[in-house]
Amino acid sequence: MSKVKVKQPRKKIRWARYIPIYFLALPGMIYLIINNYLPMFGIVIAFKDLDFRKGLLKSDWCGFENFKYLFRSKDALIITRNTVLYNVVFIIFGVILGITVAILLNEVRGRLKVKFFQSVILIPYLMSWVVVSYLVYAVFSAEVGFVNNSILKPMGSEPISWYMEPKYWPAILIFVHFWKSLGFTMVIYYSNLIGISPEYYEAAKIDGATKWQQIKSITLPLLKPTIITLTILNLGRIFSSDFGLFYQIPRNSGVLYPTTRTLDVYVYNALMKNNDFAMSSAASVYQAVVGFIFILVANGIIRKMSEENALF
Amino acid sequence: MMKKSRWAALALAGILVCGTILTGCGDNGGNNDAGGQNNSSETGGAGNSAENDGNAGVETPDGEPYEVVMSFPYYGTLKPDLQMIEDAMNEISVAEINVKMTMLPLAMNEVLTQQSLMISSNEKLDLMLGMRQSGFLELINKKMAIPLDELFEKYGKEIEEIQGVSMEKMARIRGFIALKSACDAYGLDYENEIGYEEMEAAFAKAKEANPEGYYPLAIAGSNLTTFEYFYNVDLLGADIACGGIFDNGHAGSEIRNIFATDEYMEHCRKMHEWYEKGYISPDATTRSEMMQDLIKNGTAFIYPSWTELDMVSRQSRGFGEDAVAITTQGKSVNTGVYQGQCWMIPVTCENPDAAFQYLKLLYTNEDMINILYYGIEGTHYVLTDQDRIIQYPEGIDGTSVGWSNALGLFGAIAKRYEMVPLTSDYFTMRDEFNNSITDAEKSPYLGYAFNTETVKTEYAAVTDVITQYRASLESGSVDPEVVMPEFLNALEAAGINTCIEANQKSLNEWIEAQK
Amino acid sequence: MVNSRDEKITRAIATVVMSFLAICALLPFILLIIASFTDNGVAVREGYSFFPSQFSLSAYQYLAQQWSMLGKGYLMTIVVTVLGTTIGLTITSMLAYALTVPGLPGRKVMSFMIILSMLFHGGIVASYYVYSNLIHIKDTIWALVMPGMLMSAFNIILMRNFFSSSISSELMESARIDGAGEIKIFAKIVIPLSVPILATVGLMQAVGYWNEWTNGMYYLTKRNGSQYYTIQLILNQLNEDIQFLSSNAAQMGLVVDTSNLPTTTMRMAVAVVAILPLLIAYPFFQKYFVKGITLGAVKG
Repeated sequence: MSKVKVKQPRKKIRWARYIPIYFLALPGMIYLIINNYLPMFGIVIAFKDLDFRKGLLKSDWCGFENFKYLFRSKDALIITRNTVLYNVVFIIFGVILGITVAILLNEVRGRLKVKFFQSVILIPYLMSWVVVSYLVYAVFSAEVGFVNNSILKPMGSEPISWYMEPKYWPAILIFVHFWKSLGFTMVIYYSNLIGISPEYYEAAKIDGATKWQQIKSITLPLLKPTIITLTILNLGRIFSSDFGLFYQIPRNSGVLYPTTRTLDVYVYNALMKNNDFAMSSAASVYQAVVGFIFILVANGIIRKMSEENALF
Repeated sequence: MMKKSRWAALALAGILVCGTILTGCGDNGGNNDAGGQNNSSETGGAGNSAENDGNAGVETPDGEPYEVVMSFPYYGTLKPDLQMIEDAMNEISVAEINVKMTMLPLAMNEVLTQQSLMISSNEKLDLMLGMRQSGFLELINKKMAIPLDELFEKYGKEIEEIQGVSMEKMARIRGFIALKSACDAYGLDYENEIGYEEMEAAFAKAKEANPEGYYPLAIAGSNLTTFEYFYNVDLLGADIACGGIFDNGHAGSEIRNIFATDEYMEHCRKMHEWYEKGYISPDATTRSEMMQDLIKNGTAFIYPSWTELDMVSRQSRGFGEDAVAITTQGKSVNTGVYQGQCWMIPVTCENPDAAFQYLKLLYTNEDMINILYYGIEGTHYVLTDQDRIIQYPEGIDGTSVGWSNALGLFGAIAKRYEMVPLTSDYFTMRDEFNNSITDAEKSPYLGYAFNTETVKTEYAAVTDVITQYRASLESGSVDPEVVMPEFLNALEAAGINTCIEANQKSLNEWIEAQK
Repeated sequence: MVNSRDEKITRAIATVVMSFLAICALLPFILLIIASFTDNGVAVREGYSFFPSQFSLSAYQYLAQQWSMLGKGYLMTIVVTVLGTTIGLTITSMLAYALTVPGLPGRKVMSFMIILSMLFHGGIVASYYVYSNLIHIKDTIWALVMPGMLMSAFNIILMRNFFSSSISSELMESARIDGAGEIKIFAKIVIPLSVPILATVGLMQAVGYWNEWTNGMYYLTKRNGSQYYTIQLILNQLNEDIQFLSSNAAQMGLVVDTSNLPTTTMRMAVAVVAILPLLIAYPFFQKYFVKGITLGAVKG
């Protein structure tokens, strides 16, 4: 950042032009400071041995004591693996599926059809996880589930206790994730897609480009900034997970833990009895630091490759 | 005699407060200022501060009544007549002790979080609630509550009057509640204490009669338990993650890892057998309905519960048909019983004296407690011809009444009216029940509680392991021969032995201090 | 002619795939609706199905009984959603635009601060302290609008990207040469050209507000803030109550009168009722997802 300042001597800055821009930025920055930066003193709680008689800030320091439980579990590695792997799958397929569906929707002709698809595909995104968990349960329950009663039984197969079989759950969770989020990811790419001027495509068509060539050489390059941004931002959450997806959907069935437990679920379960602010704060600091490192590295790489796409 | 008075003190302390608990655990991780009060809680609790007049009233600079803000947990929807209740209670309390109260209704699952947040932000809160399942130990361990020993000593004059009856039932019985019709049909004995075999025989008959979609034993949820309904284990005021003692604490003073015992293994084998035979639903750990609903809707007939006295008649009302209690063990008074729901005074309270006096009034004044429970006579309830038994006025029922205290968590329960269908006999039964508790039924460690703060890392990790394995083992959904060794390994790796050792050390010190 | 065949095939594939996705999305929703009309006993015994053996209106009768509370909740949800989305969209787009102005001193610092705010947060204790002790929004409608909702780093960056990639810099340069001030450029050129992204971010914010309930749980007390309870807060508190009771009532030795609590089919009905308005409002956003805006505006 200092480099920038050196490059542009103060005298040459056109303040008359910039001051109105600062006014535009002001409300947002004030909000950010009040809403996000003022409460950041709370991060110190992660390093405190909380004693409410002394108050939050005057409690004794305890170093990394509050972080220890994060690594105490025998399954710490499995938990980390699950969290990261699910995120990697979500990021990669999120980009691929999101763009594919956006492009396909863009190809659909007929106003009503477009409107219908757009609305319907967003419905799952509007449902809460609790409701989704009921629906998933309706499908996979051993006793009353749709799969066991209406598919396996008529076929003469043995019923499966889905909530007791970890091996099925990566597939189920990934499906449910995309089922719920695809509409949303699609809308983001779609809004960028329809901003692309049709003139580009007209020109390409005149040159005899196939659909695939058009996508490869027009659509994708123009979506690149959005793809990069979304990916970097998602990398910042690589150690976090959607609690609703990983807790509500498998119904916290302990048997499924080898494939369903992520860091957030572990933290929730570990602190269930001992609802400890300091320890939960430690978990989020841990997630944030890892995410921060990932973002810095990813952003650094992007800046080397194409400066204009870097986030900062 | 010494022992007798200590017990009374402890019982009270359990209900009102935390003073005893703070001293109970002694081992406070170097921050031990509770030790000095160790004895004061004994004497204070026993109520020999005769000179002090606890009814002097609270003085404020301007003479106006002091305002006490009090947590009020509820579930479902809050009834509308809150203000009316408050006014009626304030009329009494202002006259008596110059204190008025403002109720702070909190959704019950939010009680701990809200109270902690209010304390951390120094918001006005004078009386808060610690519930055993949610925050009792937390509030003490994090030093959010003040020790009440001194206040006990100062205002404890009338404590002896209410000793022993401050809780509705001084002991609890764990067992099962079942539909009477089904018990009769399948030959389940509800008059004598029974065990696994008798239940199994009845389940077999029930299953035979309803082969499809019927699982006689209703258990549900990802943290269900069944073991504790067959064995009385004293968890020493903490959690099973820190071990426990069998026989309601009478099996010596050695704290054991309950999960590693033969009894536990046998129990899990039995449950697995039942599961395989279809006595327990394959969806037990994932169902989200309440167990009572499963029974109501005809997919089961028996569920684990507390079973003493009024529980059965209350449940009959819920089922809409007769229920009976199935007994598997005698009544017990373990260290957890008195931590069910406790009033505490937060560290941020400006005037603990006033808060404590208000609490005392709640525990001694019959009108106060009945207003808080049932509302105003004539509006929310009417007296019946039976002594101290009330009912809803004409045309009003549980749904339309303007006030209810659904959780029933407060005050001098002995002075409380009871609602039909209970009859006046209930009071006699209750007194008999409470008076019949023998020393053998009381845990020798009443008043002790382990401060889990000292082992919080291990405690968190062990809690997580328990969440992972316990429900599936106790519901029989997994084969214990395979899973148990895995479970025990994981517990050990998470540090259950550290928790138990720390608990043991602290208990030994506590025992030493009691001598 | 290669091109038009190519085009036809693509369109056919697009319609087929989109239809498949639409079915995937729609079926569970239909199941939800049917579940809300299922008799509760049947739901407990047989689970949810598209063809339940017994229908029941009891869930909706329950809703009708609770209408005074739910109706108010609805109204409040709408007020909060509209208020929050309007303010949020305004400050987000203004800030996002500032970040696209080339050479603006402090631009990188601001970007960095925004990203950082996405990662690190002080936790509930600190936020609660700020909201209740410093800016005093506890028990006001702002408790639902402000905390963590008005603006997210994600939305700012999304918008910034759109501004810098989809709005031609020549257009803005020529406006500057014509003597237009930055605020005028923002209001007269950038905003009209950015309708698709405004609609996207607005939609996301609206859905966020519509479904949000934890802020209400923390910052609205039953006693002083219950007039601001939103529909989702009411729904979720019922769910939380039930979860708490079903896992703790036995251990606490309480006899819970289950008739006081809504059954699962009732909760399904509430879920349906909570989603419907969003579905009805969605076409309103949709009309801004129209093609050719960029082109038309440039030409004009």
